[in-house]
Amino acid sequence: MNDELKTKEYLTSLEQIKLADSSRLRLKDELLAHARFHAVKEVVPTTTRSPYIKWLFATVPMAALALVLLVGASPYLLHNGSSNKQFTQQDTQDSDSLADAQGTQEIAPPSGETSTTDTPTILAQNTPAPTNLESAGDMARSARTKAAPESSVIQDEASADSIEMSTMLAQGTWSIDEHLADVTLRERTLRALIKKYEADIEADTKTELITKLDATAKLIIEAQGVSEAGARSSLDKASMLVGEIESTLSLLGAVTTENGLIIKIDF
Amino acid sequence: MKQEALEKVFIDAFEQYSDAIYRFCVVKVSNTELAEDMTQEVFTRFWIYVRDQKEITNARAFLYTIANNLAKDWYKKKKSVSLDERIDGGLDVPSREPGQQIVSEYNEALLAMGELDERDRDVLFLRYVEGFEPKYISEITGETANVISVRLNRAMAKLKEKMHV
Repeated sequence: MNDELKTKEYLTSLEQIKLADSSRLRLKDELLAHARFHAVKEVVPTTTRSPYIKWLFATVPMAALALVLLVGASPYLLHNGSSNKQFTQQDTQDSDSLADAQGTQEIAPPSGETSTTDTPTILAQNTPAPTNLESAGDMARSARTKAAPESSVIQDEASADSIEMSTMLAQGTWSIDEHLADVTLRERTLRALIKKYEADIEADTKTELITKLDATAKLIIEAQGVSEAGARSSLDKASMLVGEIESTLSLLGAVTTENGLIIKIDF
Repeated sequence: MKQEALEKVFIDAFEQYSDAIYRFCVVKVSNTELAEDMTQEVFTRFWIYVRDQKEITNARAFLYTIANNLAKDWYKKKKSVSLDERIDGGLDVPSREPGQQIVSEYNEALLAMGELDERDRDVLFLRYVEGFEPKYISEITGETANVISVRLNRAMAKLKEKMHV
């Protein structure tokens, strides 16, 4: 036989190398689990997100916007609603009106010169004190209502969730204690749920979920007996971890929820 | 595209190309367990592209490219694997359980391939095992079709010599 043909024949014999059926099945299952775990972002059901996280994302940008307007532009807006003149140099003949406007400066720093780097500090100071945040929001809303009616229309269209959570904060109904109780309840419910369905969950996924649950439990412990700011920070992190666990579980099958808690998974 | 549709694309590609990728990895690393792990890693990386819906003009070539890159990384980490290790590592009997003669044939073919330069081995495998044309191989290796053709001739001559046929 021709040498080259024989060599090619040897090479062709390699075609018979294939994955064993059991290996193929195992790989397929693991890859599918991986694909579901690292799923496209759009499929994460919003219903399983923590209401606190939802509120955080909805409210913080609005509060920041309100503070920027309050701090920077309100005196000028109060004086002159014309948007083209808001950031121009004031004429000396406006001094009386400017003085009137400065009467409001007891609640707001005086100029638009406040640097943007100051804003997070102001926000951080205000955030833990719900009443301050609410009153700051009222003042900002009031100023904008006077100066620019169209702004108040936008304000009125804020999401219902955001308003609800702001109200809860203002009324003090979403206290650290309640936040702690909420996260603790969710952590325990999820732990029980994972134990219940442990036979249906892939080993790797289960390990990852339990690791996150343990981290959550640690954060819950850390949140107790520390300052309010420290507790809030720990609980925020715990809440995010719990949200991630809930999202993962919801991708494993059809979930049934009750009072925002996952109580059943149909695999 | 929704998650379910993307998963279908992904699993279809796995069903269609997993054996070929596994085979490629076996030839590359001469170790069936490692080849299985590499196959899994290839498809794990492939999922990222499917999920993010990045444009893939040729999924098959793309999968080989990933496998090729993974093997290169592996070679870097494990510079020299002796021939004895390759034999001891075991070239498993495949699932189809062909006769002893065929097993012996691919042991011989694999061992001889193992002695070749990596690039020679790749072109021989892709041309004579997977049946790819030089132009197609050039998409995977990143070389021109002419270079692939020349390499094929030289690699075949080397392999004949190694196999003593």
